[in-house]
Amino acid sequence: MVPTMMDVNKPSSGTLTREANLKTRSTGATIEFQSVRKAYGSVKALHDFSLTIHPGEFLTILGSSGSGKTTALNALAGFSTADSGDIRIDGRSVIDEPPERRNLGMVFQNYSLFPHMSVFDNVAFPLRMRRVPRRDIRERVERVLEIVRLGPLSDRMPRDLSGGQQQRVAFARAIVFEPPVLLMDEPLGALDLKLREALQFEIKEIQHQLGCTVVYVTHDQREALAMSSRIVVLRDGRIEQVGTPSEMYDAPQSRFVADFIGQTNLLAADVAQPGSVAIPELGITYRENVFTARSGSWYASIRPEKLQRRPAEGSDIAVTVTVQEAVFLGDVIEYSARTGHGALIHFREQRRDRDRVPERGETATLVLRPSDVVLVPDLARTSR
Amino acid sequence: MSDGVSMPRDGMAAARRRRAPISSLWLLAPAALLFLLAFLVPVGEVALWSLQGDAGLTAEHYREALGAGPYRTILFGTVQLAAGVAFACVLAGYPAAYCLASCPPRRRTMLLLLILTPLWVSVLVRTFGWIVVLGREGLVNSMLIGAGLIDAPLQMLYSRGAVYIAMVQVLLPVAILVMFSSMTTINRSLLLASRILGATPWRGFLHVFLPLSAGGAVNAWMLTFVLALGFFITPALVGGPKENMIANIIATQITVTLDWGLGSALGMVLLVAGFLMVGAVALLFRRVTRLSGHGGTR
Repeated sequence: MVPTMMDVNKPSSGTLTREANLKTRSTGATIEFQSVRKAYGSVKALHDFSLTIHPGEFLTILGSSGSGKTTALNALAGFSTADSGDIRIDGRSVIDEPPERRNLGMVFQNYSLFPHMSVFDNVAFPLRMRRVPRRDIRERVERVLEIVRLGPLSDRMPRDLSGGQQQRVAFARAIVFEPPVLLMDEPLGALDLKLREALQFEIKEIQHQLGCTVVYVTHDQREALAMSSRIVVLRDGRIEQVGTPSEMYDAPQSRFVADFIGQTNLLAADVAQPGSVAIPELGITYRENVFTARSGSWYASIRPEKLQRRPAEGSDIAVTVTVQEAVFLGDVIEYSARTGHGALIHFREQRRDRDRVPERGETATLVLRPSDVVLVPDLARTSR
Repeated sequence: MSDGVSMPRDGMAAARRRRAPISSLWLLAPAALLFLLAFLVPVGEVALWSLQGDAGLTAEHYREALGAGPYRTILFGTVQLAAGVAFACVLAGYPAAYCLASCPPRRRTMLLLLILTPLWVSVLVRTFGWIVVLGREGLVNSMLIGAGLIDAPLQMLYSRGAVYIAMVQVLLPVAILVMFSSMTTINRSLLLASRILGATPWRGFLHVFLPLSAGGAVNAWMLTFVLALGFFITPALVGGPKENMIANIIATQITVTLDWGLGSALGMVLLVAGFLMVGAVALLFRRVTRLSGHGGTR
């Protein structure tokens, strides 16, 4: 079991001091990207990137490699200069300022701890660069090492630490000067799953206490859903969608986002006239009253957990399938099944005690509500 | 898949692991043999000669080599010169190595080639080059006279300065290569990290890059120092008789005066002096040299 940094509810002697330590809240800054463009040769890494990040927000830039997420972060950090556009922090343009003048905390993917400095010196580095008096440095470093529970290790060298401990040092070093903005570039990428999940929670906790604005870059959609107050999905240097995790999951606005975030069944759908939707691969046609999509070709995104064998209120649509495979995942069972029209779909059910798990080749009737079908345009198709 | 299959495979792997230290030691054999035959045996023989007098063992040669007199002066002068040359190589080579390590791969290959080309030319030829440049009628003098800056040619050849310049020129590529290879192990994102954490480029260099590359600089100093100690052709050609280094004296003892006892004693003293200097420097800078190889790849 990984100890959490923030078990403030547990009655321990350190609790009070730790809570008091965090009272020195720094308030988060507003960050504005205004039409930022960046090209590497003929490759456009970022097209007209505009985004406002609110104070105290945990904003995740989500995308696969080459989507422009690192370019956006590097432009904000000052590691690369944008070709055009502006970046403002609390209204002040920083586009012409070098990284050291932007007052940002940053956690790197590979931690980038200084290998010739002890844990203490690593964490003290930003304070020394800011010419903080020696007395204050000791106090502040010890305080922040306490927060990340590395107090006893302050004399160790980075190479003598485990991956998780190195990550904590990197985090401590990034927050010790109480920056209004904290940048994180896939900070958990190199850690194993258990540790990653524990640290996700801890990072979130500390961010709450510090109140700083976090810009978090990852390719891991689960991480993005778990941590963010808002997510920006980038694709080929363009913003595909911005929204809260639940908006991204429940109301994806493009086929890409529906596919990228969470698991889903994507099926071609035809909107014949306003209000009438056909999904040939499921062999169904239904009426959607509140639906406003224009006629034409769309994709239907149906989350696996929306398809159920048990009828519920409003589940007007029924689909008959042949079960192919059942995967036991503890609390849920995931099925793959083939429709009468040849499409392979996935559905997921909460496991209940006396449920009989249908076997391979067995027929099942799945039901869903029209509102569970999210119609998304295939942006790639329409824009080309 | 089954235990029956995997067990013997694990057993074999374990056996291979146990054998590994012994079998890999064999890889040292060719180098060790050469070292034994071409270094230890001859040095041992030289050590014996240095102790042989007309009547059995004697310390007389060492008394002559180390006692007050021309040999001790030349020995100290040689160590001093070699230390100075090595220091100059590190000083001049560091920025070049930094530039190499920072430039994009394609340009880096080209620059490396340029730095390496002098090494293809023999030391003899390169030294003769300096005679052409620094001589009475040489390039520098004729240019200075042509420009009207001086009336009579300057005496540049056959001076300590000439030996200095020529030796630094010969050894510089070695120093650059040693420092360059240590700099390439430094993770560049450490410099970005220093910047975003508040360091100006200069302070980032001072606090991060310099300490991490200092080990390479010390290694470069030690290597060029040891090489410079034994320099022989260059001082003889551009330094002239009054700028003799200990290697020249040893050669004279062995080939001209045929005083093998004194020559051997001087050789042994030079060897020990070299060991002592390098050992002292290694000890002094053990903190920084231990860092090289840990160049922040994690």
